[in-house]
Amino acid sequence: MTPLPEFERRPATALVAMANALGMGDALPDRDLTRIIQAVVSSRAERAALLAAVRAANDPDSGLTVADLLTAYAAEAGEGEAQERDSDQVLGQWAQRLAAGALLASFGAAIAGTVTGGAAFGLTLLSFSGFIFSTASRLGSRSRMRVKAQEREAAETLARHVLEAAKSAGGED
Amino acid sequence: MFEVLGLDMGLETVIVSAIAGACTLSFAASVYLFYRARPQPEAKDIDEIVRNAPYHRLHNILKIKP
Repeated sequence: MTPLPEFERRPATALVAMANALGMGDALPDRDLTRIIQAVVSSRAERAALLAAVRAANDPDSGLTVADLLTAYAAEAGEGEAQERDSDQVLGQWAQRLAAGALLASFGAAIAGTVTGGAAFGLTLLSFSGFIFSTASRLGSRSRMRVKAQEREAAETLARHVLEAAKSAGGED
Repeated sequence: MFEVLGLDMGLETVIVSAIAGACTLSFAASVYLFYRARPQPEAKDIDEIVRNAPYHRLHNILKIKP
């Protein structure tokens, strides 16, 4: 029997420890758990360390718990992504369209001579800056959507791999 | 315009207020989107969470360096 390897204290092993503690009925703050999962999912080294730790663990159930925590995190990230997409479609798109419409209307009113002088200039400037502002906020919200989607996919993949690793858990002795 | 309603507004006022209102709505929506996006303040440092994780629950399962 080969001696079990020793693992360092790092986010991956902290996640396995937290999964075991949860399984034994300990209460853990949700935010800490989410934070640790985020750190593990987003780093390649931590992902590899997590798989190694699950494979070396003597208890196959801990791998199952870790996989379940990861799946729950993926579901949360998916929910955040959906919320982001909703608010972009409901608010962002319409804010942009409204500002573009206002820009065209102020051009039209200035050309037709209904609004003249400083008012025409001010309206054009206002609607133009509104358009730029709404475009910037949409860009930001779409990039957050992509980050959430990536987190969800990464967590789902890692959960699948952890399950695979848990099948060979404790096989070293 | 709008004399029927007893309002004495010129066409210019109507158009200016309509465009300004549309811009205000658009700004308000964008500000809300930005406001929603503010990251939550992090309560604890990740290193602290890693240090204080319940490693004692792993004593029979995984060897952790002390």
